[in-house]
Amino acid sequence: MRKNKRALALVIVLFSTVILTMMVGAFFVVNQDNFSLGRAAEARLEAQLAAESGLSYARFKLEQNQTWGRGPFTGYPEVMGSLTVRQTASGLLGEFKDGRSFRLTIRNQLGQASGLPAANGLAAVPKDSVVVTAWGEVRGFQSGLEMLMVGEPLYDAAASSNGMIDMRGNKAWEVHSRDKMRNWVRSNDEIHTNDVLRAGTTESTKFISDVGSTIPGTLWSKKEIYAQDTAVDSGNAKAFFGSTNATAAARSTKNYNIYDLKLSDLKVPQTAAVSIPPGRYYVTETLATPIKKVVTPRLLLPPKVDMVDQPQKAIRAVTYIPEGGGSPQVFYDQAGLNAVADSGGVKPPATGTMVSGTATFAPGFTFDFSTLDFSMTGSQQLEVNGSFSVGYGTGVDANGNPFTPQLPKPDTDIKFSSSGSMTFLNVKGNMTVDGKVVGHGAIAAEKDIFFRADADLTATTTDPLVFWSGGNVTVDATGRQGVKLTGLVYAKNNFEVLTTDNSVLQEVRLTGALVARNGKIKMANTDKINMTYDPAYLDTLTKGLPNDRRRLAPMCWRVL
Amino acid sequence: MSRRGFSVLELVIALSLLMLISGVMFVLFNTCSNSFQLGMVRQSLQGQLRRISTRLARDIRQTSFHTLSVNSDTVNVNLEPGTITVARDSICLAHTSSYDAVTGQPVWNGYTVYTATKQVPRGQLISYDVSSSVPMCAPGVLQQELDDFNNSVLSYKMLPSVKAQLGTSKTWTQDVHQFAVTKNDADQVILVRLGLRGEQGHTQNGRRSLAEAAEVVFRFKAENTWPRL
Repeated sequence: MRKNKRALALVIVLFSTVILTMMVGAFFVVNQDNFSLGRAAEARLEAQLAAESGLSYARFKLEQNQTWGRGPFTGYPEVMGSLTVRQTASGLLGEFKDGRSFRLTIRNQLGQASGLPAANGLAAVPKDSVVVTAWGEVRGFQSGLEMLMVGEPLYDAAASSNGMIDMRGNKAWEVHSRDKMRNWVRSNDEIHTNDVLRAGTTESTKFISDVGSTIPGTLWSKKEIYAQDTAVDSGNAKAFFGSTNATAAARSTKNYNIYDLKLSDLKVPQTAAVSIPPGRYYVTETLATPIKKVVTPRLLLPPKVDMVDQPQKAIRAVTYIPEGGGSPQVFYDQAGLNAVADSGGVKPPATGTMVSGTATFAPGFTFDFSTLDFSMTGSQQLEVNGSFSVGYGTGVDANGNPFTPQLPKPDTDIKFSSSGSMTFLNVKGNMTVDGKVVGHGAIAAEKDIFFRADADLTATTTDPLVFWSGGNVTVDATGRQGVKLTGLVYAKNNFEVLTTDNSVLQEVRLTGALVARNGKIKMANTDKINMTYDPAYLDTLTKGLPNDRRRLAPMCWRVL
Repeated sequence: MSRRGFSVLELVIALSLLMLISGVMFVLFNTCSNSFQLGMVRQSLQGQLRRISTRLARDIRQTSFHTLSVNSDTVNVNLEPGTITVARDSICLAHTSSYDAVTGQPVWNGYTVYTATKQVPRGQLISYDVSSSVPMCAPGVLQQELDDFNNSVLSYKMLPSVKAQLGTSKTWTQDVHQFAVTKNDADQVILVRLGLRGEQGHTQNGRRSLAEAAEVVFRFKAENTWPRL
């Protein structure tokens, strides 16, 4: 009986084991396809990710040097953590320590005036572009990707800012573009247009293509976009678009990195810098003493001639006050001095140097007494190793005391060449101009730039910079007419057009691109603001930064 | 030694125990069977999601954000108890297989429509691939959605669809619960919410009783968007 029971137990155990084995076996048989599919899908995805790693690697290399891959590779094998990249006969092979790998083929025509024809099963490469082909391989699965990249504009919007763009209080804001593909305003903060959504408003914001593009404009922001102070959302986006011809792309989670432009990135006149002494250059007055010749007839004697000093008269002067102290240098014009001479002549001012029509502070930097303008001329770089200020000041008498001005207050303007050569003024401190800045030139200041309105400064597309400031660019438009800047305006911090007396500025016209990298853009009390994005002023920068660096953007990406 | 049979009481107890054990076994078997079936349904849904997502990722990544348009639609699904409204959108996107040898821009040589049909409780996800010389890539010309799609999106949802005659069509799944697509202009990304629903067993009035749902949300970047923000 006991033996029978043990046998029965054995049978039950064996039976259970067989049943369980059959169930497990059936489970695997039923799911084998699923397991296989899952593994294959995973391997295929990993292969694609490996290929994308290869594309990222190539893009990183090409942004460091746009000639990379055009000739023989150098410096390989390269080890970066778990990735080793080595050269092969057809390109590069990247191998991860876990067995995944990618193969790269690079056909690089960046910066080249011609493309490459199709060959060996590879498509043609357009001029000034690069095509990278990457094959990822994981556990026998391959995935191929191809990416065509072109140079990315250094700045791609009429106005770019990390801070708020505030256009409230302006009657009309027009954003033009000479790029067929884009007409953008970008802020990593809020954007306030003027009051375009209010019923019966007379204010307007318009995005307009100057080259016949049908692509509407885009206001892009990492935060909110407001029409005045009304947030543009799904409820009023259509009305906003109808009014502005622009899409309000608000609350983006993308990170828009505004390129930190350095002076070393710019192509400035290559001639050796001419040094201008730092300090203040002021149009002033000084006092000359006319001398009257008094002839007194005498009987039987020759007439008595007396030279009698007359009350002092003001003559135009220009004064240089060195930065950090030092004796002021006063220049006055011989013609101006002669103009106040009386019958006995004139006594020159107690101090100062007489010049004939023009005071020269440095080669290329002069003051013209006939027009009362400062001039910057010549295709050269004028360097000020400190702050630089041009303005108006009252004169001082022989004792150093200011006296009541007798001459009308002039506009103290800086005139660059009207055409042809372009002068680059490079200031290592603040730059202040109490007057107009007009002509053909560029101004860079490591600190702030401040000037009165009525400016009209133009850069060239080959030397695209018009303003570069390591601080703020401020335009005081009080009582003025307009501002016209043509070229790239770059402020490390804020760009602001303001009035101190609520007077209305007729027009602000900015052509090229306006960048306030770390700060805000604010304009107010203007009848018309015209911003035009013109990539021609950025092409020089876009086609290659120093050391062949280049910002690239994918234009065509496809799975092979 | 006498051999006696089982008493009635013993038989009753034994039979009762047998019935009890059988009942428990049946319930256990039924539960296991349903679970197994649901597991198979779940596996099927996941497999479909994997297949669809692979294809959607490939198509959407290769298009331009500006060529993708969405037509929103909804259906009311009776879930007993309660009724919910779920999206059954359609999208249309241009596709490319090469770039222009001069400009480098993608050549849009056709378009694909993905549409979720309106049957309830579960619809179909169908794609239509149409070869077409879509003149949308010229610089300065808005790469906008096809008029054909905008004007007659419903005909893509009708079965059989006359639009299928335009190109090749493929039914990706017959278990669509919802298919919602939104474009994010600020990020230039496309969000796709795809929910599949499988059912197993029946209620007394004939409806399927046990349901398994699988849902994924994809965030796609259209790589051929140019210019990109």
